Amino acid sequence: MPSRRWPVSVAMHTTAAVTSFLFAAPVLIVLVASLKSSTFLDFSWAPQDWTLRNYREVLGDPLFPRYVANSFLVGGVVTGLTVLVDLLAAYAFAKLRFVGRDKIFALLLATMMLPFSATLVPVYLIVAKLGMVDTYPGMVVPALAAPFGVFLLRQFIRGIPDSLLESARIDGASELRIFASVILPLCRQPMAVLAIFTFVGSWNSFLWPLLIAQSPEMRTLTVGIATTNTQFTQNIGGTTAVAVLSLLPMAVLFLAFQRYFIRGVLAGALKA
Amino acid sequence: MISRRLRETAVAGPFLSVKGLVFGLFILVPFVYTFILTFQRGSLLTGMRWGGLSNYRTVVTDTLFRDALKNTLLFMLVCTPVTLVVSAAVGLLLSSSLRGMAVHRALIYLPSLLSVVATGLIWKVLLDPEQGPLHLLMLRGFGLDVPWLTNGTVAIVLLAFITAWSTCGFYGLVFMAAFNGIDTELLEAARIDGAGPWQVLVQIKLPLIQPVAQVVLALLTINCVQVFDLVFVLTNGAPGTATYTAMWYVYQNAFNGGSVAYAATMSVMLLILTALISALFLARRTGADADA
Repeated sequence: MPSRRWPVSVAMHTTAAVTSFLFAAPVLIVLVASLKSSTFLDFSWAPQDWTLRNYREVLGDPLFPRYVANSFLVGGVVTGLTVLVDLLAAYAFAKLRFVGRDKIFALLLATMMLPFSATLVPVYLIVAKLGMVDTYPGMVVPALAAPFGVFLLRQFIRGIPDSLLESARIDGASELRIFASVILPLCRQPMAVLAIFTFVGSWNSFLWPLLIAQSPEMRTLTVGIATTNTQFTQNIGGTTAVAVLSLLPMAVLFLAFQRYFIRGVLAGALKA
Repeated sequence: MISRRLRETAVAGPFLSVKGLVFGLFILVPFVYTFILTFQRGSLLTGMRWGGLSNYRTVVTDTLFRDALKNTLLFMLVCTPVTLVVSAAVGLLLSSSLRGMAVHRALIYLPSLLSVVATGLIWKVLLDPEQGPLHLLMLRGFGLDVPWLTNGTVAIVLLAFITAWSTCGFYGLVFMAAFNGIDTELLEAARIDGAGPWQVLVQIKLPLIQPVAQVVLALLTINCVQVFDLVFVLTNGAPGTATYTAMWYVYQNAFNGGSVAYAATMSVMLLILTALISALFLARRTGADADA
């Protein structure tokens, strides 16, 4: 790297600091507020002002743990199934020359940009017809239709040399066996990328679970905090604590798997 | 050769079965079903009947839909350019070799980790008319009593900026990768030829990331047409119907006692709008390719 003169480097550090402050400040202000017993009007940094009361109030609400559990459950199942189902399909698209393959894949790709609003109403009607409104399957199953994972994994599997598969075939391995013992172990990285992206997407999704969860105990976290008018969304202390709690799992995931996040962003955005 | 293809088709079947089923049932069938619904009328309880073009006649004269569309376009016109420019700048910053960039990257990405619901809660707190710190800052610092959410136009512009704030981290990473992907030899060669950093940026880097910018632009506009969650959390369409967006109106019609057929008709209108915008970018893109 070429060495920079110091005024340039100071200017760049300042720009970077100001930018990250502007992005992070709203979240950090809310984080601090959630840990204080005072309001913004009588704000003080005094040590006796720090408290976990806001969190105790939120966690004391009998439904709040249920919302969190629902989000984890739905997110976990959607993620596990998406990775499995998409990997199976991606293998077929990448390595098997079946009739109509390229046309079907083009169809799949074409729907990737399809806005959710174009199918929302009928998807709801179909799910209602199947009797899945207000059930976990109603939240999980339609989410498995998303084509993104097939695209992501197919790209990767195409890079696996055919000779690996051929030698397994000569050894008499069945297709399922090849899938499980050759493809699956090699795909761990893109599977992790897809898993993280699917989980984050499911955790943050709102409109679909809002429609499906009709009884309070079926609500996911986003739906619960957006629709419930209890003490934790009525007062500012409670609201801040809820916002922080809902961010927490995502922040942990991000810090633990940053490079997968970045790779997923790239795969997601550069698909077109 | 043909027998091999047939054999591989038989093998592929089971691998594709589950995906094919859910994809067909929850994307392909609904997509066709949306169009069929637009020619129907009645309600699900009383049974749907053939309605001809009546939904389309209604939608072109529906002033509330027109206003909702206007709000959606205003939202898009603010959100898209702001997000595009800021995330490109953020990407450029993040692609530099500055020390401590990992920390900056994490902080800038922080808002992108929030659900739209949590984003709404955070801004609700910051803008609270009694004790929100941002509201107090404007009031005490500049003497401005900004009607954040009580004036329709102000609220829509505000929603656009909040959305930009919460997505720039994501698209910033996209641009970061695009800048990092530029061949360093190209940049070295330009420097040796005496180009300054500004010239390198304008004449080499920006033209090279243009394809990425176009994809981001298309994604942004498509997403903007869908704006819904933030309306739900922050304004509920209020005051009156002043912050109705198109998607919000679709939702009200389909799931809050309106007509599903009419909701489907509006989503078809939105789809046409989205397709037109994408086609515009696509045409631009092939045009740019032809120039090159």
